[in-house]
Amino acid sequence: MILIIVILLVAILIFAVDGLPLIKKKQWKELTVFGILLGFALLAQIMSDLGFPTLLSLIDRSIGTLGRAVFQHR
Amino acid sequence: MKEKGIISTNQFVWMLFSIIAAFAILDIPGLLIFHAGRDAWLSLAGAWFLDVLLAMVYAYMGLRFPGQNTVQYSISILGKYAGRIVGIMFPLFYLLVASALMRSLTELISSFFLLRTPVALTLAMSFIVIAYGIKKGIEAIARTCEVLGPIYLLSLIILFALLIPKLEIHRLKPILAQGAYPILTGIPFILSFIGTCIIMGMYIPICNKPENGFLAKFIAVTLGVSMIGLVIVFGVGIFGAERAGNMVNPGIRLARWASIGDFLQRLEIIYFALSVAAGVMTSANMMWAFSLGISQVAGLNSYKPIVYPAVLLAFVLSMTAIGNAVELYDFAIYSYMFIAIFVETGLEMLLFITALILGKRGNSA
Repeated sequence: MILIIVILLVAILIFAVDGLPLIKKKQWKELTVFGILLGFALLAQIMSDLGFPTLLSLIDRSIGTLGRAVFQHR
Repeated sequence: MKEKGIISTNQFVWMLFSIIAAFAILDIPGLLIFHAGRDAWLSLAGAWFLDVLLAMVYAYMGLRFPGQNTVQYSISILGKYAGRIVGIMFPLFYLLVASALMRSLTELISSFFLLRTPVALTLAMSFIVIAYGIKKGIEAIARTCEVLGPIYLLSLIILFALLIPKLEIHRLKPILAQGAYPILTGIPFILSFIGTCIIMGMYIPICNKPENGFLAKFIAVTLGVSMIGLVIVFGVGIFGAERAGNMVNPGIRLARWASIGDFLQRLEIIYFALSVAAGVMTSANMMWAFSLGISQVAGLNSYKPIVYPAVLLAFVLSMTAIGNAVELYDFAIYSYMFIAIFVETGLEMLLFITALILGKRGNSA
């Protein structure tokens, strides 16, 4: 919970530092990509806090089985 | 958009060396020994050879499309839409490597030195440094690697020199006791880690002598793989294959054994400090490539406005995408190899073959 608040505050700070100048310069493409990346960061943190499986566990479930077949460790 | 920074061939070499050598201090040599036993060094030799062949392809593509990096020539070869779909995979791969590497490094720092410091705090400090470096530009990162790389190389050479009296070379025999299968499967495993220097595809267009791309990669890979090889040989030679394969980090354990007489011991802190610096520089390189790649796919004028959001995303992924150290090791051993080989070799070979078939070339500068 604390981490999501910290991430949100950092995201607001980043927007204030780099996002507002983009609005002033009317660089809408840059602002869109900027917003998408910030959005993904916040979304990833929220999904983690809500208990969604981690990205690596999802990858491990799909590709990891192949890896375990190849690397036959005792 | 074109990256305006310029790097020299010397900087090119040390940047790639830092990337490869950063993996030497992590758990990768230990994981390779875990898999291939005392023959791990043979897997490494095979991976070196394949990586050199791969470097030829990247270097050739860099010259066939002068002034363009992997993302840009993906678009040139495959067109606006398919090219962007393929091109975006390279920056996403760099993001994955940076996130996983920083988390791995932070777990190492937390388990060896800063036991009570929260992982999030150590990660945040590292990413702040990375963001600052990227904002300063690739030339700042290149200059740092140019200073750090030789120091790191020298420290590794001194470490191994101090350990020679303790080495029992007979522990590397018998060769091929477990057959060829562990060696053959070990090759793509270690290649997936040293192959992260496909980032050379992003460096070639910004090098003042792009024709030196292959030479720079060859020197860097040979030096880097030699260092990893020495960690493996000394790890097996001093601890034995079974024990070295079960170690969290054989490199740091080796550094603990090094001493100069009775008055200079526990040198691992020096080794570790340099290794962490190399790891941070590797992530800085990866995140620069991610920011640049995404900005080129999106058609932006500059990558600098998206640096902070990109680094925040990498921080969040480091914290949330990886549950714990065990999950990280499972990913490193069983899953990462397939993703890496697909991006490093599969995508580039697709671009290479398509460029040859369609006769696509870049415009000469």
